[in-house]
Amino acid sequence: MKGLLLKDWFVLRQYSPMLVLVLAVYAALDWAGGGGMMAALCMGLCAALPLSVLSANRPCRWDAFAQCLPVSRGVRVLETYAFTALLLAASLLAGVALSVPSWMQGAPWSQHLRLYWQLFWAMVLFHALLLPLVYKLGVDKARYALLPVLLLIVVAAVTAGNAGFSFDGFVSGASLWILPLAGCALYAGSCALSREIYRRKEL
Amino acid sequence: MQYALEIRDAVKRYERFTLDHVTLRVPRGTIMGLIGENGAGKTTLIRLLLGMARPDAGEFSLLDAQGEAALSAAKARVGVVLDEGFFPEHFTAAQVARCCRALYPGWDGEAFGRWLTRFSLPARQKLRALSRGMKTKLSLAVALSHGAELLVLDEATSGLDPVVRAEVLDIFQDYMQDERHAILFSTHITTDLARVADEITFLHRGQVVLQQSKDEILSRYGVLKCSREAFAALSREEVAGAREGAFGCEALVRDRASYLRRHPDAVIDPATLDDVMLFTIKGIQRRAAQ
Repeated sequence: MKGLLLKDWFVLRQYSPMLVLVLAVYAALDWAGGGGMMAALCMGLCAALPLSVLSANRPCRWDAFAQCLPVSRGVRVLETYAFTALLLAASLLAGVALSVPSWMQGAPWSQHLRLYWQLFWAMVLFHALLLPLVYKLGVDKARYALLPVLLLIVVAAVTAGNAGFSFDGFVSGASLWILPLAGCALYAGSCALSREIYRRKEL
Repeated sequence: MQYALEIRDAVKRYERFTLDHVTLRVPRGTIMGLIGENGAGKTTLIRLLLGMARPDAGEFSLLDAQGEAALSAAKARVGVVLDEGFFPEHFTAAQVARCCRALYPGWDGEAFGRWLTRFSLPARQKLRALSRGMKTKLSLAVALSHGAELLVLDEATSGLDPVVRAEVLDIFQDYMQDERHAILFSTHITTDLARVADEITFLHRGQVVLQQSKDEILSRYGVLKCSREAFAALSREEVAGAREGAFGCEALVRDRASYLRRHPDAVIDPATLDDVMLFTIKGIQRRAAQ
Protein backbone atom coordinates (compact mmCIF):
# COMPACT_ATOMS: atom_id res chain seq x y z
CA MET A 1 0.00 0.00 0.00
CA LYS A 2 2.91 2.36 0.65
CA GLY A 3 3.72 2.51 -3.07
CA LEU A 4 0.12 3.38 -3.92
CA LEU A 5 0.01 6.11 -1.26
CA LEU A 6 3.25 7.49 -2.65
CA LYS A 7 1.82 7.49 -6.16
CA ASP A 8 -1.31 9.39 -4.99
CA TRP A 9 0.87 11.82 -3.05
CA PHE A 10 2.82 12.60 -6.24
CA VAL A 11 -0.49 13.12 -8.08
CA LEU A 12 -1.65 15.46 -5.31
CA ARG A 13 1.55 17.44 -5.40
CA GLN A 14 0.80 18.77 -8.86
CA TYR A 15 -2.20 20.59 -7.37
CA SER A 16 -0.26 21.96 -4.39
CA PRO A 17 0.86 25.35 -5.80
CA MET A 18 -2.70 26.26 -6.69
CA LEU A 19 -4.00 24.88 -3.41
CA VAL A 20 -1.50 26.83 -1.32
CA LEU A 21 -2.37 30.01 -3.19
CA VAL A 22 -6.12 29.56 -2.70
CA LEU A 23 -5.66 28.69 0.98
CA ALA A 24 -3.48 31.75 1.48
CA VAL A 25 -6.13 34.02 -0.06
CA TYR A 26 -8.89 32.45 2.01
CA ALA A 27 -6.78 32.64 5.18
CA ALA A 28 -6.19 36.35 4.63
CA LEU A 29 -9.91 36.96 4.04
CA ASP A 30 -10.75 34.85 7.08
CA TRP A 31 -8.42 36.76 9.39
CA ALA A 32 -9.68 40.06 8.06
CA GLY A 33 -13.25 38.99 8.71
CA GLY A 34 -12.66 37.88 12.27
CA GLY A 35 -11.90 34.25 11.67
CA GLY A 36 -13.85 31.01 12.09
CA MET A 37 -14.37 29.79 8.57
CA MET A 38 -10.85 28.64 7.76
CA ALA A 39 -11.44 25.01 8.59
CA ALA A 40 -14.65 24.97 6.60
CA LEU A 41 -12.83 26.48 3.65
CA CYS A 42 -9.98 23.98 3.99
CA MET A 43 -12.35 21.08 4.14
CA GLY A 44 -14.36 22.34 1.23
CA LEU A 45 -11.22 22.51 -0.89
CA CYS A 46 -9.75 19.25 0.36
CA ALA A 47 -13.04 17.42 -0.08
CA ALA A 48 -12.56 17.75 -3.80
CA LEU A 49 -8.99 16.44 -3.77
CA PRO A 50 -9.66 12.68 -3.49
CA LEU A 51 -11.86 12.92 -6.58
CA SER A 52 -9.18 14.92 -8.38
CA VAL A 53 -6.60 12.26 -7.56
CA LEU A 54 -8.92 9.50 -8.77
CA SER A 55 -9.75 11.38 -11.96
CA ALA A 56 -6.02 11.62 -12.75
CA ASN A 57 -5.99 7.82 -13.08
CA ARG A 58 -8.22 7.74 -16.12
CA PRO A 59 -6.12 9.42 -18.89
CA CYS A 60 -3.12 7.18 -18.18
CA ARG A 61 -5.27 4.05 -17.72
CA TRP A 62 -3.70 3.58 -14.31
CA ASP A 63 -6.25 0.94 -13.21
CA ALA A 64 -5.17 -1.39 -16.01
CA PHE A 65 -1.49 -0.91 -15.19
CA ALA A 66 -2.13 -1.27 -11.44
CA GLN A 67 -3.66 -4.67 -12.14
CA CYS A 68 -0.18 -5.77 -13.28
CA LEU A 69 1.33 -4.82 -9.91
CA PRO A 70 1.63 -7.22 -6.96
CA VAL A 71 -1.19 -5.40 -5.19
CA SER A 72 -4.69 -6.85 -5.07
CA ARG A 73 -7.82 -4.94 -6.04
CA GLY A 74 -8.95 -5.01 -2.42
CA VAL A 75 -5.76 -3.33 -1.24
CA ARG A 76 -6.06 -0.71 -3.97
CA VAL A 77 -9.54 0.19 -2.71
CA LEU A 78 -8.30 0.26 0.90
CA GLU A 79 -5.56 2.62 -0.15
CA THR A 80 -8.06 5.02 -1.72
CA TYR A 81 -10.07 5.10 1.48
CA ALA A 82 -6.95 5.49 3.61
CA PHE A 83 -5.67 8.32 1.39
CA THR A 84 -9.05 10.06 1.52
CA ALA A 85 -9.18 9.76 5.32
CA LEU A 86 -5.65 11.12 5.60
CA LEU A 87 -6.54 14.07 3.34
CA LEU A 88 -9.63 14.91 5.37
CA ALA A 89 -7.73 14.64 8.65
CA ALA A 90 -4.97 16.83 7.26
CA SER A 91 -7.54 19.39 6.12
CA LEU A 92 -9.03 19.50 9.64
CA LEU A 93 -5.61 19.99 11.23
CA ALA A 94 -4.65 22.62 8.69
CA GLY A 95 -7.91 24.48 9.20
CA VAL A 96 -7.46 24.43 12.98
CA ALA A 97 -3.84 25.57 12.70
CA LEU A 98 -4.81 28.45 10.42
CA SER A 99 -7.62 29.50 12.80
CA VAL A 100 -5.25 29.93 15.78
CA PRO A 101 -4.39 33.57 14.94
CA SER A 102 -8.07 34.54 14.98
CA TRP A 103 -8.61 32.66 18.25
CA MET A 104 -5.72 34.55 19.79
CA GLN A 105 -7.63 37.70 18.91
CA GLY A 106 -10.70 36.54 20.77
CA ALA A 107 -12.68 34.47 18.25
CA PRO A 108 -14.82 31.75 19.95
CA TRP A 109 -12.47 28.75 19.65
CA SER A 110 -14.68 26.14 21.34
CA GLN A 111 -17.59 26.93 19.06
CA HIS A 112 -15.31 26.81 16.05
CA LEU A 113 -13.77 23.51 17.12
CA ARG A 114 -17.22 21.95 17.54
CA LEU A 115 -18.15 23.16 14.05
CA TYR A 116 -14.91 21.85 12.55
CA TRP A 117 -15.46 18.47 14.18
CA GLN A 118 -18.97 18.23 12.73
CA LEU A 119 -17.79 19.36 9.32
CA PHE A 120 -15.04 16.77 9.35
CA TRP A 121 -17.49 13.95 9.93
CA ALA A 122 -19.90 15.40 7.40
CA MET A 123 -17.08 15.16 4.85
CA VAL A 124 -16.42 11.59 5.93
CA LEU A 125 -20.09 10.78 5.36
CA PHE A 126 -19.98 12.57 2.03
CA HIS A 127 -17.09 10.43 0.83
CA ALA A 128 -18.69 7.30 2.23
CA LEU A 129 -21.56 8.02 -0.17
CA LEU A 130 -19.41 9.16 -3.06
CA LEU A 131 -16.62 6.58 -3.32
CA PRO A 132 -18.78 3.51 -4.10
CA LEU A 133 -20.40 5.57 -6.85
CA VAL A 134 -16.95 6.41 -8.20
CA TYR A 135 -16.01 2.73 -8.32
CA LYS A 136 -19.28 1.83 -9.95
CA LEU A 137 -19.70 4.68 -12.43
CA GLY A 138 -16.37 6.45 -12.74
CA VAL A 139 -15.51 9.90 -11.40
CA ASP A 140 -17.55 12.05 -13.78
CA LYS A 141 -20.77 10.05 -13.60
CA ALA A 142 -20.43 9.68 -9.83
CA ARG A 143 -20.44 13.47 -9.43
CA TYR A 144 -23.72 13.68 -11.33
CA ALA A 145 -25.17 10.64 -9.57
CA LEU A 146 -24.47 12.17 -6.17
CA LEU A 147 -26.50 15.30 -6.89
CA PRO A 148 -29.91 13.61 -6.42
CA VAL A 149 -28.63 12.02 -3.21
CA LEU A 150 -27.55 15.39 -1.82
CA LEU A 151 -30.83 16.88 -2.97
CA LEU A 152 -32.72 14.18 -1.07
CA ILE A 153 -30.72 14.94 2.08
CA VAL A 154 -31.47 18.65 1.78
CA VAL A 155 -35.18 17.97 1.14
CA ALA A 156 -35.29 15.64 4.15
CA ALA A 157 -33.60 18.24 6.37
CA VAL A 158 -35.93 21.01 5.22
CA THR A 159 -38.98 18.78 5.66
CA ALA A 160 -37.84 17.82 9.15
CA GLY A 161 -37.27 21.45 9.98
CA ASN A 162 -40.71 22.43 8.73
CA ALA A 163 -42.19 19.62 10.81
CA GLY A 164 -40.73 21.19 13.93
CA PHE A 165 -37.58 19.13 14.40
CA SER A 166 -34.86 21.31 15.86
CA PHE A 167 -31.32 20.69 14.74
CA ASP A 168 -29.79 22.99 17.34
CA GLY A 169 -29.70 20.51 20.17
CA PHE A 170 -28.59 17.73 17.85
CA VAL A 171 -25.87 19.85 16.35
CA SER A 172 -24.49 21.09 19.63
CA GLY A 173 -24.76 17.94 21.72
CA ALA A 174 -25.32 14.45 20.38
CA SER A 175 -23.54 15.03 17.08
CA LEU A 176 -20.23 15.19 18.92
CA TRP A 177 -20.40 11.46 19.44
CA ILE A 178 -23.15 10.28 17.05
CA LEU A 179 -21.45 11.66 13.97
CA PRO A 180 -18.10 9.93 14.63
CA LEU A 181 -19.83 6.61 15.29
CA ALA A 182 -22.04 6.90 12.25
CA GLY A 183 -19.16 8.22 10.18
CA CYS A 184 -16.81 5.35 11.05
CA ALA A 185 -19.51 2.72 10.53
CA LEU A 186 -20.62 4.16 7.20
CA TYR A 187 -17.05 4.70 6.00
CA ALA A 188 -16.16 1.07 6.80
CA GLY A 189 -19.35 -0.16 5.12
CA SER A 190 -18.64 2.04 2.12
CA CYS A 191 -15.16 0.55 1.84
CA ALA A 192 -16.54 -2.99 1.91
CA LEU A 193 -19.09 -2.08 -0.78
CA SER A 194 -16.43 -0.45 -2.96
CA ARG A 195 -14.21 -3.50 -2.65
CA GLU A 196 -17.02 -5.71 -3.86
CA ILE A 197 -17.83 -3.38 -6.76
CA TYR A 198 -14.20 -3.11 -7.81
CA ARG A 199 -13.62 -6.85 -7.49
CA ARG A 200 -16.04 -7.46 -10.34
CA LYS A 201 -15.10 -4.51 -12.52
CA GLU A 202 -13.48 -4.89 -15.93
CA LEU A 203 -10.49 -2.56 -16.15
CA MET B 1 7.72 -29.47 -18.04
CA GLN B 2 7.55 -26.28 -16.01
CA TYR B 3 5.36 -23.62 -17.49
CA ALA B 4 5.90 -19.95 -16.70
CA LEU B 5 2.41 -19.25 -17.93
CA GLU B 6 -0.51 -21.50 -18.60
CA ILE B 7 -3.94 -20.66 -20.00
CA ARG B 8 -6.41 -23.52 -20.32
CA ASP B 9 -9.66 -23.27 -22.27
CA ALA B 10 -10.06 -19.55 -21.80
CA VAL B 11 -13.45 -18.23 -22.83
CA LYS B 12 -14.60 -14.62 -22.82
CA ARG B 13 -17.81 -13.48 -24.49
CA TYR B 14 -18.53 -9.95 -25.57
CA GLU B 15 -21.45 -8.77 -27.64
CA ARG B 16 -19.65 -9.06 -30.99
CA PHE B 17 -16.63 -11.15 -30.13
CA THR B 18 -15.86 -14.36 -28.32
CA LEU B 19 -12.51 -15.67 -27.20
CA ASP B 20 -13.24 -19.31 -27.75
CA HIS B 21 -11.49 -22.00 -25.68
CA VAL B 22 -7.97 -20.71 -26.07
CA THR B 23 -5.20 -22.81 -24.58
CA LEU B 24 -1.69 -21.47 -24.42
CA ARG B 25 1.35 -22.65 -22.52
CA VAL B 26 4.69 -20.88 -22.29
CA PRO B 27 7.44 -23.12 -20.95
CA ARG B 28 10.26 -21.58 -18.97
CA GLY B 29 13.18 -20.80 -21.22
CA THR B 30 10.86 -19.92 -24.13
CA ILE B 31 9.74 -16.82 -25.98
CA MET B 32 6.14 -17.26 -27.16
CA GLY B 33 5.05 -14.94 -29.95
CA LEU B 34 1.37 -14.08 -30.08
CA ILE B 35 0.20 -12.88 -33.48
CA GLY B 36 -3.11 -12.11 -35.09
CA GLU B 37 -4.89 -9.39 -36.98
CA ASN B 38 -6.51 -6.42 -35.20
CA GLY B 39 -9.37 -7.67 -33.09
CA ALA B 40 -8.14 -11.27 -33.07
CA GLY B 41 -8.16 -11.40 -29.27
CA LYS B 42 -4.48 -10.97 -28.37
CA THR B 43 -5.03 -8.11 -25.96
CA THR B 44 -8.19 -9.74 -24.60
CA LEU B 45 -6.16 -12.84 -23.78
CA ILE B 46 -3.51 -10.79 -22.01
CA ARG B 47 -6.18 -8.87 -20.10
CA LEU B 48 -7.69 -12.14 -18.91
CA LEU B 49 -4.30 -13.46 -17.91
CA LEU B 50 -3.50 -10.36 -15.84
CA GLY B 51 -6.96 -10.16 -14.30
CA MET B 52 -8.13 -6.95 -15.96
CA ALA B 53 -11.16 -8.80 -17.27
CA ARG B 54 -13.11 -11.72 -15.78
CA PRO B 55 -13.14 -14.89 -17.91
CA ASP B 56 -16.37 -16.73 -18.54
CA ALA B 57 -14.39 -19.95 -18.31
CA GLY B 58 -10.83 -21.17 -18.16
CA GLU B 59 -7.92 -21.53 -15.82
CA PHE B 60 -4.93 -19.26 -15.60
CA SER B 61 -1.61 -19.69 -13.90
CA LEU B 62 1.43 -17.45 -13.68
CA LEU B 63 4.69 -18.91 -12.43
CA ASP B 64 2.79 -21.87 -10.91
CA ALA B 65 0.40 -19.55 -9.03
CA GLN B 66 -3.36 -19.99 -9.39
CA GLY B 67 -6.25 -18.22 -7.77
CA GLU B 68 -6.71 -14.50 -7.28
CA ALA B 69 -4.54 -14.01 -4.20
CA ALA B 70 -1.65 -16.15 -5.45
CA LEU B 71 -1.76 -14.55 -8.91
CA SER B 72 -1.62 -11.11 -7.35
CA ALA B 73 1.45 -12.06 -5.32
CA ALA B 74 3.09 -13.73 -8.35
CA LYS B 75 3.00 -10.43 -10.22
CA ALA B 76 5.98 -9.35 -8.13
CA ARG B 77 7.96 -11.60 -10.47
CA VAL B 78 6.17 -10.63 -13.69
CA GLY B 79 7.23 -7.67 -15.79
CA VAL B 80 4.50 -6.18 -17.94
CA VAL B 81 4.63 -3.71 -20.80
CA LEU B 82 1.19 -2.66 -21.99
CA ASP B 83 0.15 -0.89 -25.15
CA GLU B 84 -1.77 1.55 -22.93
CA GLY B 85 -1.51 2.01 -19.22
CA PHE B 86 1.28 3.39 -17.05
CA PHE B 87 1.92 6.08 -14.47
CA PRO B 88 0.29 9.52 -14.86
CA GLU B 89 1.80 11.82 -17.45
CA HIS B 90 3.16 14.39 -15.02
CA PHE B 91 5.34 11.78 -13.30
CA THR B 92 9.06 11.65 -13.94
CA ALA B 93 11.13 8.49 -14.24
CA ALA B 94 12.55 9.27 -10.80
CA GLN B 95 9.06 9.34 -9.29
CA VAL B 96 8.16 6.13 -11.10
CA ALA B 97 11.24 4.52 -9.54
CA ARG B 98 10.29 5.71 -6.05
CA CYS B 99 6.83 4.21 -6.38
CA CYS B 100 8.15 0.95 -7.83
CA ARG B 101 10.65 0.61 -4.99
CA ALA B 102 7.71 0.53 -2.61
CA LEU B 103 5.54 -1.67 -4.85
CA TYR B 104 7.96 -4.42 -5.90
CA PRO B 105 9.78 -6.43 -3.22
CA GLY B 106 12.58 -7.23 -5.67
CA TRP B 107 13.04 -3.72 -7.00
CA ASP B 108 16.61 -2.97 -8.09
CA GLY B 109 17.14 0.77 -8.26
CA GLU B 110 20.66 0.45 -9.61
CA ALA B 111 19.48 -1.75 -12.46
CA PHE B 112 16.75 0.79 -13.24
CA GLY B 113 19.36 3.54 -13.34
CA ARG B 114 21.46 1.49 -15.74
CA TRP B 115 18.46 0.94 -18.01
CA LEU B 116 17.73 4.67 -18.00
CA THR B 117 21.30 5.33 -19.08
CA ARG B 118 21.26 2.61 -21.72
CA PHE B 119 17.96 3.88 -23.16
CA SER B 120 19.06 7.54 -22.85
CA LEU B 121 16.02 8.39 -20.76
CA PRO B 122 16.03 11.50 -18.56
CA ALA B 123 15.23 10.83 -14.91
CA ARG B 124 13.66 14.23 -14.20
CA GLN B 125 11.63 14.88 -17.33
CA LYS B 126 7.86 14.44 -17.21
CA LEU B 127 6.38 11.50 -19.07
CA ARG B 128 4.21 13.82 -21.16
CA ALA B 129 7.36 15.27 -22.71
CA LEU B 130 8.58 11.84 -23.82
CA SER B 131 7.82 10.34 -27.21
CA ARG B 132 5.83 7.11 -27.45
CA GLY B 133 9.00 5.17 -28.06
CA MET B 134 10.66 6.67 -24.99
CA LYS B 135 7.64 5.83 -22.85
CA THR B 136 7.81 2.24 -24.09
CA LYS B 137 11.49 2.13 -23.18
CA LEU B 138 10.66 3.42 -19.70
CA SER B 139 7.99 0.72 -19.30
CA LEU B 140 10.58 -1.84 -20.35
CA ALA B 141 13.09 -0.44 -17.89
CA VAL B 142 10.52 -0.89 -15.10
CA ALA B 143 9.67 -4.42 -16.27
CA LEU B 144 13.34 -5.41 -16.26
CA SER B 145 14.22 -3.89 -12.89
CA HIS B 146 12.42 -6.03 -10.33
CA GLY B 147 13.74 -9.53 -10.89
CA ALA B 148 10.92 -10.63 -13.17
CA GLU B 149 10.96 -14.26 -14.25
CA LEU B 150 8.27 -13.69 -16.84
CA LEU B 151 7.76 -10.76 -19.22
CA VAL B 152 4.33 -10.13 -20.71
CA LEU B 153 4.67 -7.68 -23.57
CA ASP B 154 1.79 -6.18 -25.48
CA GLU B 155 3.19 -4.28 -28.49
CA ALA B 156 6.41 -3.59 -26.60
CA THR B 157 8.41 -2.76 -29.73
CA SER B 158 5.76 -0.68 -31.50
CA GLY B 159 6.78 2.95 -31.78
CA LEU B 160 10.48 2.12 -31.54
CA ASP B 161 12.82 2.99 -34.36
CA PRO B 162 14.60 0.05 -36.05
CA VAL B 163 17.88 0.68 -34.23
CA VAL B 164 16.29 0.68 -30.80
CA ARG B 165 14.04 -2.23 -31.74
CA ALA B 166 17.06 -4.29 -32.63
CA GLU B 167 18.66 -3.34 -29.34
CA VAL B 168 15.52 -4.28 -27.41
CA LEU B 169 15.35 -7.65 -29.13
CA ASP B 170 18.98 -8.25 -28.12
CA ILE B 171 17.95 -7.39 -24.55
CA PHE B 172 15.19 -10.01 -24.74
CA GLN B 173 17.69 -12.60 -25.91
CA ASP B 174 20.05 -11.67 -23.08
CA TYR B 175 17.13 -11.93 -20.68
CA MET B 176 16.52 -15.45 -21.91
CA GLN B 177 20.04 -16.53 -21.07
CA ASP B 178 18.51 -17.45 -17.72
CA GLU B 179 16.50 -20.54 -18.57
CA ARG B 180 14.05 -19.90 -15.76
CA HIS B 181 12.82 -16.86 -17.67
CA ALA B 182 10.06 -16.72 -20.25
CA ILE B 183 8.44 -14.09 -22.45
CA LEU B 184 4.94 -13.77 -23.89
CA PHE B 185 5.31 -11.29 -26.74
CA SER B 186 2.23 -9.99 -28.52
CA THR B 187 3.04 -7.88 -31.54
CA HIS B 188 2.11 -6.93 -35.08
CA ILE B 189 5.77 -6.74 -36.03
CA THR B 190 6.24 -10.34 -37.08
CA THR B 191 9.83 -9.74 -38.16
CA ASP B 192 10.65 -9.22 -34.47
CA LEU B 193 9.13 -12.60 -33.67
CA ALA B 194 10.94 -14.20 -36.57
CA ARG B 195 14.12 -13.02 -34.97
CA VAL B 196 13.58 -13.94 -31.30
CA ALA B 197 10.54 -16.16 -30.78
CA ASP B 198 10.72 -19.88 -30.13
CA GLU B 199 7.03 -20.63 -30.42
CA ILE B 200 4.22 -18.91 -32.27
CA THR B 201 0.53 -18.82 -31.41
CA PHE B 202 -1.69 -17.36 -34.11
CA LEU B 203 -5.10 -16.10 -33.03
CA HIS B 204 -7.87 -15.36 -35.48
CA ARG B 205 -11.32 -14.18 -34.38
CA GLY B 206 -10.82 -15.46 -30.88
CA GLN B 207 -9.57 -18.90 -31.82
CA VAL B 208 -6.14 -20.47 -32.02
CA VAL B 209 -5.55 -21.38 -35.65
CA LEU B 210 -1.88 -22.24 -35.43
CA GLN B 211 0.42 -23.14 -32.59
CA GLN B 212 3.85 -24.30 -33.61
CA SER B 213 7.53 -23.69 -33.20
CA LYS B 214 8.72 -20.70 -35.19
CA ASP B 215 11.54 -22.64 -36.81
CA GLU B 216 9.12 -25.30 -37.96
CA ILE B 217 6.75 -22.71 -39.44
CA LEU B 218 9.51 -20.92 -41.29
CA SER B 219 11.14 -24.11 -42.53
CA ARG B 220 7.96 -25.87 -43.66
CA TYR B 221 5.59 -23.27 -45.07
CA GLY B 222 6.11 -21.83 -48.52
CA VAL B 223 4.36 -19.45 -50.90
CA LEU B 224 3.69 -21.12 -54.22
CA LYS B 225 3.24 -18.96 -57.28
CA CYS B 226 1.26 -20.80 -59.88
CA SER B 227 -1.37 -20.63 -62.56
CA ARG B 228 -5.06 -21.03 -61.79
CA GLU B 229 -4.98 -24.51 -63.33
CA ALA B 230 -2.09 -25.60 -61.14
CA PHE B 231 -3.83 -24.12 -58.12
CA ALA B 232 -7.01 -26.04 -58.89
CA ALA B 233 -4.98 -29.25 -58.85
CA LEU B 234 -3.75 -28.64 -55.29
CA SER B 235 -5.38 -30.66 -52.52
CA ARG B 236 -7.00 -28.91 -49.56
CA GLU B 237 -4.64 -30.64 -47.15
CA GLU B 238 -1.62 -29.16 -48.92
CA VAL B 239 -2.82 -25.58 -48.90
CA ALA B 240 -3.48 -23.41 -45.85
CA GLY B 241 -4.76 -20.49 -47.89
CA ALA B 242 -4.49 -18.73 -51.20
CA ARG B 243 -5.15 -15.52 -53.06
CA GLU B 244 -5.90 -15.07 -56.69
CA GLY B 245 -4.49 -12.28 -58.77
CA ALA B 246 -5.09 -11.09 -62.31
CA PHE B 247 -2.37 -13.31 -63.74
CA GLY B 248 -2.21 -16.27 -61.40
CA CYS B 249 -2.44 -17.49 -57.84
CA GLU B 250 -0.38 -17.51 -54.71
CA ALA B 251 -0.93 -20.33 -52.27
CA LEU B 252 0.52 -21.08 -48.86
CA VAL B 253 1.62 -24.71 -48.87
CA ARG B 254 2.11 -26.41 -45.56
CA ASP B 255 5.18 -28.43 -46.60
CA ARG B 256 7.22 -26.77 -49.33
CA ALA B 257 9.98 -29.39 -49.29
CA SER B 258 7.50 -32.14 -49.96
CA TYR B 259 5.81 -30.10 -52.70
CA LEU B 260 9.16 -29.36 -54.37
CA ARG B 261 10.05 -33.04 -54.41
CA ARG B 262 6.87 -33.73 -56.33
CA HIS B 263 7.02 -30.58 -58.49
CA PRO B 264 10.69 -29.69 -58.98
CA ASP B 265 9.84 -26.86 -61.42
CA ALA B 266 7.51 -25.09 -59.01
CA VAL B 267 8.23 -21.52 -57.98
CA ILE B 268 7.95 -21.56 -54.21
CA ASP B 269 9.45 -19.12 -51.74
CA PRO B 270 9.92 -19.58 -48.00
CA ALA B 271 6.94 -18.07 -46.21
CA THR B 272 7.34 -15.32 -43.67
CA LEU B 273 5.15 -15.12 -40.59
CA ASP B 274 3.22 -12.35 -42.33
CA ASP B 275 2.57 -14.70 -45.25
CA VAL B 276 1.38 -17.43 -42.89
CA MET B 277 -0.98 -14.98 -41.19
CA LEU B 278 -2.34 -13.48 -44.38
CA PHE B 279 -2.87 -16.70 -46.29
CA THR B 280 -4.27 -18.60 -43.33
CA ILE B 281 -6.88 -15.90 -42.81
CA LYS B 282 -7.70 -15.97 -46.53
CA GLY B 283 -8.08 -19.73 -46.35
CA ILE B 284 -10.45 -19.49 -43.40
CA GLN B 285 -12.51 -16.82 -45.14
CA ARG B 286 -12.66 -18.91 -48.31
CA ARG B 287 -13.83 -22.02 -46.45
CA ALA B 288 -16.42 -20.01 -44.55
CA ALA B 289 -17.76 -18.59 -47.83
CA GLN B 290 -18.14 -22.02 -49.47
